[in-house]
Amino acid sequence: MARRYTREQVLKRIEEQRKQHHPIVISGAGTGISAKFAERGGVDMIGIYNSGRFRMDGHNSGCGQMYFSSANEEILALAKRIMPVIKEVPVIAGIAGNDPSVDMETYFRILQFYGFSAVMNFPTCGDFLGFLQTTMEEMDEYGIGFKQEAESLALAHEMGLFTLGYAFTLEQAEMLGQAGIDILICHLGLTQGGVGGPAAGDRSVDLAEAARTVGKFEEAARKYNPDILLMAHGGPISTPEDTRYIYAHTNSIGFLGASSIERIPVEQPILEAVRQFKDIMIE
Amino acid sequence: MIKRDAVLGTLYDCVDSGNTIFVFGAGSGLSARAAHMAGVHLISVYSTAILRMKGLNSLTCALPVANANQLLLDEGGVIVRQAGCTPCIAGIAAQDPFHPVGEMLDKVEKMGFCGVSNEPFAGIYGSWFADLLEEYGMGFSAELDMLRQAAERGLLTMGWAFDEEQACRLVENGIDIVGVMVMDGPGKYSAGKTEEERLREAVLEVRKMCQAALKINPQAILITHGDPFYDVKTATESLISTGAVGYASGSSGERLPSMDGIVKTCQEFLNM
Repeated sequence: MARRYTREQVLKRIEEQRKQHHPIVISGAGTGISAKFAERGGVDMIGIYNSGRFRMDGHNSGCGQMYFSSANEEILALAKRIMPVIKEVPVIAGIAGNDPSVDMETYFRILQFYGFSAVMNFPTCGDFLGFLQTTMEEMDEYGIGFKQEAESLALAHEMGLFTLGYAFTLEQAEMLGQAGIDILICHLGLTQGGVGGPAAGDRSVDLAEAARTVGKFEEAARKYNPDILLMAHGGPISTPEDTRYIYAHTNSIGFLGASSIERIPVEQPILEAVRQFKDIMIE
Repeated sequence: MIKRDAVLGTLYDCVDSGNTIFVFGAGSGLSARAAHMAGVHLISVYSTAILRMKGLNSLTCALPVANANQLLLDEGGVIVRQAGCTPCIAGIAAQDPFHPVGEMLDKVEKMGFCGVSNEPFAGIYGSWFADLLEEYGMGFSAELDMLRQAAERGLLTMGWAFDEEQACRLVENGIDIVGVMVMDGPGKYSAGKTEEERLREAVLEVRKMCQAALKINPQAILITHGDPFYDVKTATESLISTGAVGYASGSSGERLPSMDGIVKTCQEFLNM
């Protein structure tokens, strides 16, 4: 069963890895088997959230952000399935901090009771660019916007949970800096390449641009929280080599992989295994 | 159950006699009952309406806080029964992996709905996310496909469009009622503009969508909706020389009037 850690204990584990020059690797787990083998592979933290469940059920991860389920209820169901196979690493709950039907303080107590050590704002409304982004201020006003996501993270921080926040814009990075969270994850858009992903551009140029963006996000958040730790996700960063570039050119301390850790690695082997069984002829 | 042809007959009669079609969005039995008493032409029931009548903001419908189809199945029956003999259409989330379209159509038919609409819609997420959903087969095309399946069963169909292309595709595919929707985000219309200017721009956008649709089928039944058209005066503007023949209310029909009415009544009781 997953163990619960205090915020300070999580920070200490991170510090130990950094001293040994290891990146912090976080993986998303939509099934028990993803979590089990991520832990054996030496992952530092495991994230459980709605999108992971959709992804591992063969749907698009984006479903987790849409009107198909209650993300906050889903975590509890997922926790019952996944927590028993996790032995030692701290577990993150990906929450919808802007859900108006949930009392966050009670909800966080339940998450702590379930064994979660950390929370992050995923699903988020932060990347509904277009209509929902143009009404982002209105969403805040209505009590269902990014502002509420940041407030929920601040509350979680107060309650002793470790906190991670995704930001898609500089303004969001500032808001997360003010919320006092532990790790800022700079989201650089959807991961390029792979099946169904957006086309990759000139990789060296893209990575350099990504590094500059991460620097700007860092600056925005550090104005309010000089101790904030940094990670980058998506955009041109998709392979371990890409992360090496980002570590060399930014203050990013690690990588959060979801599809790249639990979905893409199993797709082809399952397909191949079935083909090999199917290719045997019955004489 | 009321049949599609009968409803369409009523709507065409309404237009022929120079009257405006009024579709009422209902998220509670009480709203539906009141709308029925007033004699609205059609009642539209969908998750957004159900959420807003619980006091939550209409935009909550776009967030992962509930399953839109489950919400409709749980609460839609009561609303339909309160609507009496007024025809009701059900808003179906066409992309829902938990509720296959065929099953949803079976269920809403059994519940007494005479038709369906594509509500909630991927369009609410804005072009960036909606285009992505379209690429994965979870966007507007999935909604159109759901409407076509409903039409094949003889159900009445109402399709919502966010732009000219969507309006045209709905008309081309023989969708019975085409709703043209204008969303008024601050970045889109309000930046440094007066309310009058914003309204004028929204009306122009409605007109563009309607004219494109009417080129394909001059008989198309076009109705308007959107937050710039929040009362009778602004809704009227959306109909003047745009080509639309009706209006669908949302918050304007049930939430705002309920709030105002209850607040006023409470104040009167408090002043006893």
